[in-house]
Amino acid sequence: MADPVLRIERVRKCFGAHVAVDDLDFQLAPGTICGFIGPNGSGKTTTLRMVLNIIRPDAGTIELLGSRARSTVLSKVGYLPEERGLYRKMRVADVLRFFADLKGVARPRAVIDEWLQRLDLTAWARRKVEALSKGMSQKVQFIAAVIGNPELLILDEPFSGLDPVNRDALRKIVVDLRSAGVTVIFSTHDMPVAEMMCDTICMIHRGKKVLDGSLAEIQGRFAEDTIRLRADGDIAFYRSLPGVNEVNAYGPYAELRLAASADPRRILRALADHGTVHQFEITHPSLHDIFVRIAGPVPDTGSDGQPSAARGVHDS
Amino acid sequence: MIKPLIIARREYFSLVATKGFLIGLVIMPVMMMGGIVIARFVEKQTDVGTRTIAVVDGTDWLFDALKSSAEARNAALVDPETGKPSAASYALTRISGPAPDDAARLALSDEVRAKKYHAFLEIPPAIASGLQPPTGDPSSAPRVSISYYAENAALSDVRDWFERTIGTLVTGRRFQEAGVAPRVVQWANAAPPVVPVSLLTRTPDGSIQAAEPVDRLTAIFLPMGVMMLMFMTVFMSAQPALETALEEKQFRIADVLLGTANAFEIMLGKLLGGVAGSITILVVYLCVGFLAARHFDVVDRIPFHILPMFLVFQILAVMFVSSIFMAIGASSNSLKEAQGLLMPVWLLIMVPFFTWMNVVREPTGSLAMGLSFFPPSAPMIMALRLAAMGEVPVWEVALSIAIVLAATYLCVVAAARVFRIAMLSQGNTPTFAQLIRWAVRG
Repeated sequence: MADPVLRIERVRKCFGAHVAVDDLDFQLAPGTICGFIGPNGSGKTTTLRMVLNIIRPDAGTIELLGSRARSTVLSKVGYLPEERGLYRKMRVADVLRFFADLKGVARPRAVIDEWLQRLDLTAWARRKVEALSKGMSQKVQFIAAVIGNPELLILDEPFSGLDPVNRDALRKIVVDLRSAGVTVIFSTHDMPVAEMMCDTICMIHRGKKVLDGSLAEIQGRFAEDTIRLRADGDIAFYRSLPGVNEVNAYGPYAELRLAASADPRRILRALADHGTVHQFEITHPSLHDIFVRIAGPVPDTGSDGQPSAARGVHDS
Repeated sequence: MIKPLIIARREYFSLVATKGFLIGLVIMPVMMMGGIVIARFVEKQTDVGTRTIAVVDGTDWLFDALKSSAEARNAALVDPETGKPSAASYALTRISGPAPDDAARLALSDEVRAKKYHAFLEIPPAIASGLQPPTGDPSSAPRVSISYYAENAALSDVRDWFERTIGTLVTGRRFQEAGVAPRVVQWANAAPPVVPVSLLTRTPDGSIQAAEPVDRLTAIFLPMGVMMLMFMTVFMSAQPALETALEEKQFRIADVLLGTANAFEIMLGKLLGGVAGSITILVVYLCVGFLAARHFDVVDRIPFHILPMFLVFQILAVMFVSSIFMAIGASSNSLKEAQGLLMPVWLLIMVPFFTWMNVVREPTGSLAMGLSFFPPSAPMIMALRLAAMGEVPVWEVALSIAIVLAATYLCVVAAARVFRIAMLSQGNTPTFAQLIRWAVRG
């Protein structure tokens, strides 16, 4: 593996008695997109702020772009905070010029014009930020994050507030940037997007890393205890099926979580007896399901102190 | 361009390139000097009607003399060109009859309430007996007073006029009874004036520059104006600094900034922008002041020689105050919260306003000197003293600058620590003790 873009070793950060980040180890390979996930208050933002040298860790080391003196390499890092982050009274072109200057961009005017054109914002260049819609602000903010031609791009919920067209446009740009060698950390609560875009996933919960690896690796640690199906039936019927612990229905689709003793063949027979089965797939849980199993409100804990929902993890 | 300068440029343009800045340039002097202007305007808008005053005269001569004086006063108030009076005229009406008792006084009081009279005056007969020189010790002679009854008797201009006029009439009559000519008394009472003049100086060509008379009003209001000028420049750059810090916190701009530059660089950039803005304000006011002074032919009264030192103290004051304002802006979730935290800071900043008269009267006194070395008040007090004295001993200026400079550095460092922590914290506004803890520990 090439030298990691980001190396976090045994990093700890407390705010008073609250441990925000607890002994975190993490490495990020260059040219990849990493989904940084976790429930609210899990320590994601604190970790990102430590990476950006906004706050200092209490213990441990962080190496960014090969340097422990992170302030010296910050001009090579782009950061998009979740929502806002722009001076409302400034004109779009001026605010981008300000961030371009801070990042030391050569020929900033040309670069700004190019990005505005790419994101269909040229007509808004002379308008004040406060006049923009939420989606447009998000795009301007995105430009501010990438304008310095970063080697590492940190995105916090980059697609929130965007319509599907703009969402696809930004997604394409992120993928293009990855193809151009930019490494992306991408904090999100949108699990399907993370599944679709990320090469690796890192999940932290209560300050600790609980998942790290590719989606396939992560899913491989969980048993094939999920049935995805499209069939005639309702939630009550699905719940009555033998060995089904939990049902998540999404319109015509449903996900059934099975008990360890459940027999999928019996379930398929019951479904077929009840009506037509259009789709039946025995699979690993989705990232969404994994997230909920780990971060869901489960009060009891196992002997190892981990949430009981995580006990379905196989040794691989 | 290095980061603080980039931030300074943005701060400067966000300060001066707004309508609010232009409006503030006009509003601030109006707010500061408006009281004086309005008071003078209101003074000119006095009632020019007739005030009828009933006089119960226990003497056989004072009413006639008062009436003559009132008529002379009324005539003197009439503008010969327009024929209009500049103030209310007084019409005196004699109330005849026996010495009034309380029932008569109540009846007159009711007539005053009914607006028939503006007031009534009761001159006791004993005034006449007091015209003869006492036989014994004059200080032990009983003092007889005259009563002025009105709805607002204590603050009445009419009462003041009666007091002055009766005083003149009675003392004149006493001199007459004692056989002393009034012109002799007038001559004897004419004390030689003590005229305020400036100190003499030696000019560069070696000759001695003669002392010049000093106008009392100029001596008081010029230093005050200089102090006000510094206050306006400081306030007009510190307040936007607070609002910008608040905006950066509320709109999560701080995250982006702090991910690009460190807190000290950001703070320094903001302060440099504020200083540039305050110098712009100063230049605008100086230009307007100079043009106004030239119009009124008083350019020679502008103390140009204190300008360099004024500028030094202004820059220090802007940095000192703005850094505190920024830290407080970063610590607050709304302008209202920020105003609450600013209260103790305002008390310190306003010290020169509570003490300026004393400092102007005694610019070398211990209070003036002590406040010159107290960082929150030092810049404005030094501006006051420089304007009042012309020159302040070099060592005092140097020591004051050194103290304010050191305090400003510490303040900027402490404020940067608070700024960095507070900018990222959400939820409750920190207490003052918490702010101090952040400033000390970082």
